[in-house]
Amino acid sequence: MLDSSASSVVAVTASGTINYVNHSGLDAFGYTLDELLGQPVEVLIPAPHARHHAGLREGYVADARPRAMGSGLELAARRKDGTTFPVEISLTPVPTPEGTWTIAGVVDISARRAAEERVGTMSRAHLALAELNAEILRARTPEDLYTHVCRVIAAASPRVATWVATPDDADGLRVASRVGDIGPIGKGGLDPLHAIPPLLSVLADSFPWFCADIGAEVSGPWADWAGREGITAAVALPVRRISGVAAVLVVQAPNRTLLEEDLVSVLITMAENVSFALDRLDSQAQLQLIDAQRVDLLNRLVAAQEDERARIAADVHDHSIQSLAAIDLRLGLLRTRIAAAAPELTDSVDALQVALSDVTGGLRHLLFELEVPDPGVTLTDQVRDALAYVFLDDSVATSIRVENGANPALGATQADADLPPVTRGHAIRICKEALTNVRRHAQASHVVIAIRPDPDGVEIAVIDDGVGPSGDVATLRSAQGHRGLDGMRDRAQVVGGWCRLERDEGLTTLRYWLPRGTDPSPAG
Amino acid sequence: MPQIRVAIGDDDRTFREAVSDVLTADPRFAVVAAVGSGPELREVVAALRPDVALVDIRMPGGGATAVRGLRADDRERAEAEGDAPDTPVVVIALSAHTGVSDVRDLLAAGATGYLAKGNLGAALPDLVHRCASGEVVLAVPSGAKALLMLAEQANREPARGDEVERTA
Repeated sequence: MLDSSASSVVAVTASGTINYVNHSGLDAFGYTLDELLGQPVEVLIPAPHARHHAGLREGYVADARPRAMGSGLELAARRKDGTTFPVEISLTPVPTPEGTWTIAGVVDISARRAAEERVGTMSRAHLALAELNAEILRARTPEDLYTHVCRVIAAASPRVATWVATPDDADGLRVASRVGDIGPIGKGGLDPLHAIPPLLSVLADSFPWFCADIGAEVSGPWADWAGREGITAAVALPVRRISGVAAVLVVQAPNRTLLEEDLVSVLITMAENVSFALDRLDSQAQLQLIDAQRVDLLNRLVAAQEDERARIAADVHDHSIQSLAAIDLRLGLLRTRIAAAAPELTDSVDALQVALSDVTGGLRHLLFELEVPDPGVTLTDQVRDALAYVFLDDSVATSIRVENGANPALGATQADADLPPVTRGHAIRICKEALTNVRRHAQASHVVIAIRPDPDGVEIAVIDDGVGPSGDVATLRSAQGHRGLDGMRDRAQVVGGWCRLERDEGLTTLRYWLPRGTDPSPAG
Repeated sequence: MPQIRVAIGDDDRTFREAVSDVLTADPRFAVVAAVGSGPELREVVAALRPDVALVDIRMPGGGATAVRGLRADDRERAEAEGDAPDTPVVVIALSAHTGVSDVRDLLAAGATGYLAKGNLGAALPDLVHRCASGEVVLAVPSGAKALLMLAEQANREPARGDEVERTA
């Protein structure tokens, strides 16, 4: 029965002499039966432990019962050729006429140990992958990404070194980031990366490079150094971006464990995730660029529009209104004279005067819409003027509220004192637009403007109790009655603020906030 | 009754001449000067001592600045003339701008009339005459709101003074 057992069985006498070994045992230890019978059992034990073994053995015989040997210790056995292998041993005492024999069951656990180690390596690798993915989300630049990937791989396996190489200006490579000793490459000076052709081909062709024997495949200072340091394996993986290979991720290690399929697949995944992250950074940069361009374009459009308006407003004021006002006076003079000379003709002059007054009124309204806010007039005053102008001849009750709840230190008159003129210009334009909309469409009986300065900017709310816009205010765009909403939003966004329409308990509020900002020409 | 002597300050020549012609055509008035800026207006008022100064609010150095200047000149003169000072010049603002803050600022600076350009017709001489006789004339749609603002401001300020006294 013991002969055919798959595990090794050795029987030892009370004095420690081998008197039985089964077939598996002979195979495992590399002896023939004749060579072992009669030998002390210590021949099967590695030298450092063999010395203490005789004492331990005698202790066991004195208190013999079935048990595992050296519980909690890592046991090893010794082959005939001197090599050792990890084992587990169970001991069973067998009483015989010649004293107590001990039957030792010996199991070679090197395969299990290797598997355990591999599981450990793999779980560390997967943990590292998870950690890398978390780091990637925080990265702001490609250099951040390269540093993270090196650090994460190095932390997971202390015996490897990791580096990222990127193309340099001279068709070579430079080390963008590294963790661990990478030999002459990391030392600066002449660029020895030129001497590692496989990396250049990874960069050019985007194929990964796996190397199990650096000495055989590569030559040059790095390979020489690797040979001296016992570094045999390397993996080089392309890090891609849409425009091509951006970098090469290199991992070097003293043994081929690095090249095991599972580990390599984790490394490849890491390189791919870094690639995706690079794409994300590129897209973000692209988006930011587009957004900046959009804001710039809007800014220039608004500035051009303001210039144009200012020019027209000046024309309307300086020429049209002044001339009409002069004609108005001269007509008045004419009327006085006609009243004296030919009273029956005064009606005609009066009719002319009414027509003239209408035209002047129209132009004055145009002036209200076009006029560039005077930087010398406070925002509160400009809002007050707009409110008085829009609702002058109405039965609409209007009021202005300056709220300094958030920061009582800002006085009412200071609500807008340090708003840059450009921001103030937008603030009053949006306000005028909102008031005109309310006047035209809301049929409101009360209109309130709340101005709330805060340390970063100013929030203005135009509140009315009118009919309000139809439809969902959140998605309202160019709906009738609020044609200007898009324009108001654009204005707010141009200076980095926001603008939205709210409807709550019968009140419609156009609320907008503009930052104080950093205007190159602060208000005087 | 002696003629009312008027100085006109407006940078628009067409309008300035129209005002001048209209007032000159009325025997109650004599136009003594017509200039195009605030500083010039102060000069001619100091030199010619008209009864009325018409001030455009958007001419260079015009508006509230010009009115405050005219009022300062008045005070200086009053001090120099001692017990029997000359009557101060009546200042009337004339403007195409009808914003409530413009009207408020001009009244606060010391104007006692505000006439909106473009809707005066034959009424200009009478309005100027009433101002010269001591009336306040606000022939501008936002006149009432401007006065209310000034009243509010005036009501707030004494209250603050009281508080200071109480805590003292």
